[in-house]
Amino acid sequence: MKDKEILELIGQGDEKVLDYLYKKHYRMMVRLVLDNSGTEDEAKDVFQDALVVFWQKAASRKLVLTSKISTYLYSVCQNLWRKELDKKRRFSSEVVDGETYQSLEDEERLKVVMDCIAELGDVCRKLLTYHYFDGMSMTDISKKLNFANTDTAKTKKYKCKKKLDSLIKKRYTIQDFFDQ
Amino acid sequence: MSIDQQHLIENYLQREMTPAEMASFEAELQSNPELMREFQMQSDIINGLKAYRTLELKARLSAIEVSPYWTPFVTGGSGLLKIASGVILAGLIWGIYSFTDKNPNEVVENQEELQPQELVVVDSEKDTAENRSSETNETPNLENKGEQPANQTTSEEAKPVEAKKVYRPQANAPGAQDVQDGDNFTPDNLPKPKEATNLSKPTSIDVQTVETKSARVKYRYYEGKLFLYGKFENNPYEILEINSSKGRRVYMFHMGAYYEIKPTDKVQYIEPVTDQALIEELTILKKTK
Repeated sequence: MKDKEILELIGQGDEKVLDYLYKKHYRMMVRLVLDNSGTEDEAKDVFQDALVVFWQKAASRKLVLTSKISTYLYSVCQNLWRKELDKKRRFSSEVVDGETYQSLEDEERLKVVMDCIAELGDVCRKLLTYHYFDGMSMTDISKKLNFANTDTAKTKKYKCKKKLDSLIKKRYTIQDFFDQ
Repeated sequence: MSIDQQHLIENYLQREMTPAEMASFEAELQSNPELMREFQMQSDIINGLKAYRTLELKARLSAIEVSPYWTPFVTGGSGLLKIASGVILAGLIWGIYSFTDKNPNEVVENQEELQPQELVVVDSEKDTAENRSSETNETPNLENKGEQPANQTTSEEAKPVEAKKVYRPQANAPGAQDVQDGDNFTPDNLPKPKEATNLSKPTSIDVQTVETKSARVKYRYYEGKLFLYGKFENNPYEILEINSSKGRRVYMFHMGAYYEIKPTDKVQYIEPVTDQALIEELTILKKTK
């Protein structure tokens, strides 16, 4: 599969391409981490993070590649693994960076939101994540989710977002959210 | 909150504003507490959606079966150690080959004693010295090794044993550059959720938690003991079990998401469940627990 074809399929939200890239480059990325004091589990984690970064940029069709996809993924993995090693060094010297961890309040708020997202219907959840994370266009989303047209997708997105807002507001009062 | 303000918030969070518009919006945020509250909530929602999608994509990738990267001769150790290991391995392979070459039938008779590393695959089709020499020079990759279960040879007792291939681990496993487009690309092979036949409660697992600084949960689960590493003090977890005809499956509910716990004696990151049917099943189990 050529890089251009891969980018086009990701733009359409075809997640099978992600599987393909994972299998194709797995050994190369694992070797990178293993050769630099990491384990295979850590390598998997780093490579998955790199692929998610790549997916997000490619799905929004904002990615302009100046190299091969494999080179791009390799450099993202390198950067992520460097950061991970830095983090490990900081921990070993017992200097904890407060910003590394989410605060308790952040975690609680995230939990509320995640609970509410899980309560949404499948279509709403997909539509909202495709829009807010993948950055897919409404045209691509309407094709992927088989909506009649882009306007239908926009209307549905508006309703789904409203539903999510309402779920969150219902579960927690403004005080719960912001009285920190 | 007007629709216009909601649009402004969303455009700001999605970085779809010009620098001037952003500055103007930020100024308004500082002077309008109601707008600030709404902004914080929308920011949480968008962050939540992003986190949810990230977990979903990573769970998809985790479900893909990839052969483990074989490390002993690739990483770590000195060059001398690698050479020494190579010599020992070569000797071992030569020994197996010599042994099987003298009396091919013994390969079959002694199958049960063979270790996985000493994998001998019997080929009943060919028997020429030429074939044998060319085959023993092959250095197939580790995937081939993994795909050939050792017990294949034991099932061939009735057939004449004529030629052999000795598979050996390869020192330099192939990289992505060696993989042709389309190789091993079988997305349809992704594991599918299994149907549960029986929901059991309560859990009989011995759970021990270890408080860590990281919010990201790791676990180790073996011999009925589950060790959880994470921040549980203020974020309680629940362990759920599903018993089916294929055995017991264990899940954890934590921070609004379900996670699958597979038996492992190594500490590893816990993976979220993304299959909607399974999530619904677990939600029912959780509610009825």
